[in-house]
Amino acid sequence: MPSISYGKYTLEIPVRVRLFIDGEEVPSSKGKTFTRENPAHFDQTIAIIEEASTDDLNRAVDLAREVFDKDKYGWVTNYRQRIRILYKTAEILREEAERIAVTVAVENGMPIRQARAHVLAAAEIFEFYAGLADKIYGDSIVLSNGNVSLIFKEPVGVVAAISPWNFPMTQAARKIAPALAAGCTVVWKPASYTPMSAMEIYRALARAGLPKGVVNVIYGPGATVGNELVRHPKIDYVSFTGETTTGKLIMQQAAAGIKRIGLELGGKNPGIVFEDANIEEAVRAIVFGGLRNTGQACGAISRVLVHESVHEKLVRRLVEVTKSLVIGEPLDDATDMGPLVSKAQEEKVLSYIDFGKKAGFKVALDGGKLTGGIYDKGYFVSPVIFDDVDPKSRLAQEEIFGPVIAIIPFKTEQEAIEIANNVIYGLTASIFTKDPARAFRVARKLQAGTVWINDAYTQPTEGIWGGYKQSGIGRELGLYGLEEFLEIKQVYIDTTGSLDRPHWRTVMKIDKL
Amino acid sequence: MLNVSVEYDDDVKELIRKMKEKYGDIIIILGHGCCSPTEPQIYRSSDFIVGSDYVEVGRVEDVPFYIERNLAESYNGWVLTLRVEPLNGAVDDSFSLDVLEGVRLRLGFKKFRIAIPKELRMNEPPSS
Repeated sequence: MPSISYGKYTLEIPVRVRLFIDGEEVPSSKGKTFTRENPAHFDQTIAIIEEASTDDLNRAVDLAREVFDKDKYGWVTNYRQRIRILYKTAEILREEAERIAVTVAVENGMPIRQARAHVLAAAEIFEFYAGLADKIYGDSIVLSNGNVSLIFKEPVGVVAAISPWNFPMTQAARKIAPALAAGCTVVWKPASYTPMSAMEIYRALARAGLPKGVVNVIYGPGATVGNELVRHPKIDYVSFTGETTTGKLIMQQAAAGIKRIGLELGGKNPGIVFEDANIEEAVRAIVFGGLRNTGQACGAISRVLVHESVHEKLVRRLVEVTKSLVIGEPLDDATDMGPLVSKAQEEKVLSYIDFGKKAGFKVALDGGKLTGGIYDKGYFVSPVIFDDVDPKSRLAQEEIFGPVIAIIPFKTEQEAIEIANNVIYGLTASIFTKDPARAFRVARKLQAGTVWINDAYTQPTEGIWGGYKQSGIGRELGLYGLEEFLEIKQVYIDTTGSLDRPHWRTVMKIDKL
Repeated sequence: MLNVSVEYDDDVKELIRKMKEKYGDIIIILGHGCCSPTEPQIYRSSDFIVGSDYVEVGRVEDVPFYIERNLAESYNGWVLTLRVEPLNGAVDDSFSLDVLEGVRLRLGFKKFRIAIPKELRMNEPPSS
């Protein structure tokens, strides 16, 4: 059997990835499978994945429904159990981080250094929500008439989680950990490009003692498994991260049952560099924020808005630093950028580069498809920086999800804000300035879910993640990320015992009944 | 007025014909954002309300091709080209129905060339 090795770890391929239903790893009831290739060596099949049938999906949903509705194992009520399991899951992920990082690097193409941090970040999310499961407090209001209103927070029910491939463990953890902390049950469809990362999470949960049927994992195409899951009448909440139009479709499908939804969608995020910025700081943040994960990140800086007075200086240094990045094998510790995730992704990124050139934009740093040696068998694309890009063009309006940066010069603060906001998305923005008053003023005017000042793309677990406009609905991470999975109930208690109550008397002459 | 056109080959014709047969009325929407950006999505027309947020930029075998109004202007002057690509046993996470045929409709584009009538053309410059 072929294998992939890194340090003391060996991954024998292809890995067989099964569905996880009722606490067991099971094959597809129809015997259907699909494959995943290695994005750095596309002649290697790294996983054979069981594809869920409609029967498998129904079983997964029914089990999750049953556990929730019957409070089996005390899952909904016994938060101490949930705390223990979430902490234990975090501990397992942390202990196994090095081995799991190899899997993430291989199937996603993420460089191993980043993959290691990625697994640890997922562990931190489980740990954070473990600590919140016993802090889901309600409220009480003593009313002016002496009666009492009690406000309870209760789990929303059965959650359909559809997670993406670009950060396969943290994106899944942001949905599953808070849902479980709240007392929900989950049916999870992980991304088809990263099935093994999902397997690591459900195995960690199982080892941590997760009761059967609380989390059920089904793999398969969006058009069948995803679509049926979203429409399923026994689902209460849909949490989706992915392509924006799919998010719109999900929103429309969810409307039929007034299902609750959380959507994390696209972004076209500006990094705004003012004339007083520390250019070196800005350049480093832009390179990190724009090219991390080979630009396959919804919060990535993909437009750099730069004041005309520092335009030339910034571009020169940005090109220099970008050129220094090492593009190569994900399992090489020296690698800064790995391959793109798939052929389709590579073609799309190259088509945008082609577009930029055909449209006549200035190329500050030329790049594109890499060939020769290891590059011949993977989806390796080097960064391209376009300069003086028309803010209305596709390069400046559409999410590329690859290593392509568009530079747009501006003259005034107001112009920068207008360009920054003039896109359909509103996920993130970065501001680079030494003037705190300006930083605060501009941050308040930007339509973005996260604004970084003198930094980019750092996501504290305690903070929030989510977007304005077409970047989505709802928030993940932090306290707000838990609230998404809670319903709010009022219980009103009469404390008077009176048969003559003012609110009855006002409307009905009850004394005459 | 938008000046966008859509070109496609026989494979696309065949795919669309098959999908119309299978699903009835369908639409093509240019998807955007996050993990599978800028790909045509094929949905049943009853599944997706297009509303006034989209504009029709062309037809593919009589199936309307929509682009979001806010993005459409940046396609002005371009020819959108469609082709069919096999998925070769892999799976695509989009909700687009073509995935179920084991293929994906992909988008390319080329710069729009305005055809100038012969009588209006300037004389060719002398070759050096």
